[in-house]
Amino acid sequence: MNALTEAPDRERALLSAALASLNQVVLGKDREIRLALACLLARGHLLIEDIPGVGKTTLAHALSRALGLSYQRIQFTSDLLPADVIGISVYDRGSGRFMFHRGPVFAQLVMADEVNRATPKAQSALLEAMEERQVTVDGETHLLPEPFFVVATQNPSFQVGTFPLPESQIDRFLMRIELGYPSPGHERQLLRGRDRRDLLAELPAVLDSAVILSLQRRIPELHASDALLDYVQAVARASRDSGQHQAGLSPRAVISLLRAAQAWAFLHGHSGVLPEDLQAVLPAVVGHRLRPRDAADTRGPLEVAQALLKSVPIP
Amino acid sequence: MFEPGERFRRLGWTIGGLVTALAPHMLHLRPWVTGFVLAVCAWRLLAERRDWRLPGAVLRTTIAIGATFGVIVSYTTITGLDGGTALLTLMAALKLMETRTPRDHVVLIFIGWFLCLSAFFYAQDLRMVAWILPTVWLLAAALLVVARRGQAGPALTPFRTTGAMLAKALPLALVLFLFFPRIAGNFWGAPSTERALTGLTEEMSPGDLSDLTLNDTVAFRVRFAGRLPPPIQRYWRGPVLTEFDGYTWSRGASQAYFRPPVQFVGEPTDYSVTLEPTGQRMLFALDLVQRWPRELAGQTWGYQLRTRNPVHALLQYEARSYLHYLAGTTLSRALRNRHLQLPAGRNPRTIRLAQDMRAAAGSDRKYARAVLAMFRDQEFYYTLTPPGLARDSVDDFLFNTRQGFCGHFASAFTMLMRAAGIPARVVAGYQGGDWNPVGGYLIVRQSHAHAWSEIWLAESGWTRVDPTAAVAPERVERGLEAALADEELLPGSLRRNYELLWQASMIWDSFNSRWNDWVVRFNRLQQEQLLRAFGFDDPDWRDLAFVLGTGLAAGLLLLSGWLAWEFRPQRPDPAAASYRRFVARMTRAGVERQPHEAPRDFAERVRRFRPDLGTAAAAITELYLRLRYLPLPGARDLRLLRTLVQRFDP
Repeated sequence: MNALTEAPDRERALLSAALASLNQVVLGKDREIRLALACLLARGHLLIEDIPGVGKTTLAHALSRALGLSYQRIQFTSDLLPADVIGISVYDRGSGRFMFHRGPVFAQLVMADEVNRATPKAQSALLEAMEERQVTVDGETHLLPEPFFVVATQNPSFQVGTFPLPESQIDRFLMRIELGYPSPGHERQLLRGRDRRDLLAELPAVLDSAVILSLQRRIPELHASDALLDYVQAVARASRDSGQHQAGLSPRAVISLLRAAQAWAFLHGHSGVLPEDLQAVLPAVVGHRLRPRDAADTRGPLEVAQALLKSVPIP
Repeated sequence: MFEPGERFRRLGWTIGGLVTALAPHMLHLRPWVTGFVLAVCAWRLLAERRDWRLPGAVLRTTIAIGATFGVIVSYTTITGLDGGTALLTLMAALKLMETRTPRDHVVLIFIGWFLCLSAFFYAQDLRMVAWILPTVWLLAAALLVVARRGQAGPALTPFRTTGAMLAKALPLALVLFLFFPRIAGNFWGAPSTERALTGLTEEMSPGDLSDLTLNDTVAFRVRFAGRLPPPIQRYWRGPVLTEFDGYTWSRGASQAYFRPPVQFVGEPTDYSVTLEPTGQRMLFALDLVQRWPRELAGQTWGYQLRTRNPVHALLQYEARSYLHYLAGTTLSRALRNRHLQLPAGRNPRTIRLAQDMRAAAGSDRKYARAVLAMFRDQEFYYTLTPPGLARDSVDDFLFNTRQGFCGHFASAFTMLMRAAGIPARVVAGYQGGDWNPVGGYLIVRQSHAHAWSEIWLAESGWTRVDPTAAVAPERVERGLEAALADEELLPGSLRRNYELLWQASMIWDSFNSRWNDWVVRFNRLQQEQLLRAFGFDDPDWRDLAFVLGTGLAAGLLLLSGWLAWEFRPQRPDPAAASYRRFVARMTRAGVERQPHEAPRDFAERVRRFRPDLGTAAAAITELYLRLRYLPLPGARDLRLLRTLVQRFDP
């Protein structure tokens, strides 16, 4: 029953191939890989929150390899300075002028490792670049490369010596996902298999930036019917009226939700957004934006989002 | 429980509503009651701001007992209108001392509404309505603020919301107003024994009318069927005073006499009078009245109309008068004697003067003319502020002060006539009236109060003589203001100089008149007339109940219709309708869909629980998704979906 899927074109075929090769490196995380890809296609940025060692860096690195994007990794530490992220102007004696030395943020895929360990100042340097897609130093504006995709990782914030991202900045990430422990079967495969770093090195670049840009342009055009928009708005209304959250979803969050759902639908070859597409991305998109009103509510972001999902009938 | 600022805000709304509802009562409440209530309001707001403790139960009980005692002392009762209102007001203030929960606020707001209602016991004119209606609205808004906990918003929002609610209730209120059974009797005016109404009484001492003359309030309004009679013929007959004790004229003991017959001459004048409550038993009619509602009032031998009960509510009646007439060409001995009565030994100089002048005049008619000439030619002054008169008031007036207004002149003239053997009496009433060009009716105010004389002459019967007209003809021809010297000032609307103000006051008065005609005066008779207009020949309470029920039902239907339209469901999508049918059939088959469950997830569950239905369910689901969520669904898809669902029979 393929009635809902569109005839695969070249770009779609490449996307499927990239998915397949990513799955070979990051085992048992098909859903998370798809969310990360959807996030990229929707021109958003991704926040991965989990304990160390579950494959956050591997996922980010594999994405850059398979998608053929230039890659930079910034390890956030408590002494990181904004200049360490965006770059610095240095006086060049030969030309007698200040020359801008680009920082690691000038890459198509920037891996910001453990963002919550850096000071708010260094964090905001990255977050501003994410939002503006450009960097201004000494009055000079430098455009960041296209596509520009930040994958930030964060350890759960109860760890010692961290600066949790403030609410207004965490909103800049389109999605927030968790990876979690692998299943026993996949863990056995990891144990038996080759070193992931070797696999990464061999991973062929299936896509390139031109294809990704073209795919990104197609996402907002994907059909979203009135019935689906009703659903999106019902979710937004429920988040605002239920009284369960400190604040409801902002219009920006609602637009992000639709874009993510469109990207997900595209990824699955749907010619229009289905309710299941929205449901698939909803926890990742709204989880980190909703805070329980009740301080004693200890549910995590994903549980809060699931509760919201379950409270809204599909119109 | 609530934020402090939020608590203060709610308190402010409640107190604001309460004080606004209280305002009309402040005119008649004892000052200590008003002062106490305002002080408690101010104290309560301060207490909220400063976080003071509210008084405990013992203190509150003490104050409550003290307040009740205070009411008993000042009003002698706690039940009557004044006492009851005072007690209610005080209790509202006491309730304020223990406002903690929203429920306490609700109680206060309901007291506020009750105060609004009781304000109508005191006045039902437009000014009161203009105050009370916004107050009702304000209280409703306050109730909304109290009920909506913690949702602060712009101050106007509660007004908008409750305004819309009140507007929706309006049709029902209208139906209830028109068709709710009216209690016969003076329900509205019932307790008015306690308050003094200004107006004419059946007694007149020197100086009595001058208070009235400065009083601008409306006595009655008159609509004429035909032409308006000229001012000089607009004598509105009120109490006929025959008894004189040397100082005060009064109606005297009632006694049955044969009423002297009247011959009416010329064209009749038809009109309808809307009389403001007087608390007296008199009706006013143009001289001389021929037809009036007999069930309402009888006519005395002095041609005065007297009602059976005091008029405590707005009253309207039709009457026909003839401006020319011949009244009582014969006079019985008993009546003649009654109209010649004079207190023995009082006003001796007047009696002597009368006898001298009558002897000099030759005939009764000439004598009357001579007296009028005396008023006109000698130094008599028309003034509203005459000096007080001694016990022999007529002597004092004629020979000493020589200053007075209609009452003085009528009294002196009548006395002079009686002393000369001519039957005479004083007639009190109103003279003139302001024409309201806006509403097309005549306004007769208290300031038009007037007194004149009637003497009996053999050839013309009872003949009206207005001695004031001899001294100040302008008073009769053009109105009070013209008759007065410049330095005597009259209250605002009596002065015509302010043309614009005068115009505005006329417009305002015509609104008041309409209000009286359409709302205040609406009684059981009016209700019956309305029912006749609806086609009930002989309306009784059953018809009223029927119309009331129908009206309420229609109003509610209208309201529900509006609500149904406001909350109308979205036109169901045909594909969604088919899908719902499919889901309903699946529920019957034991697989229930959760409202939030995505269609494909549901189809998957169906396949798991009922593998036999899996294929059909998947086909239906895919078709549904295509129709509802995908671009350009196929033209035959909907029909196909319907057929599939139709055949789907788990």
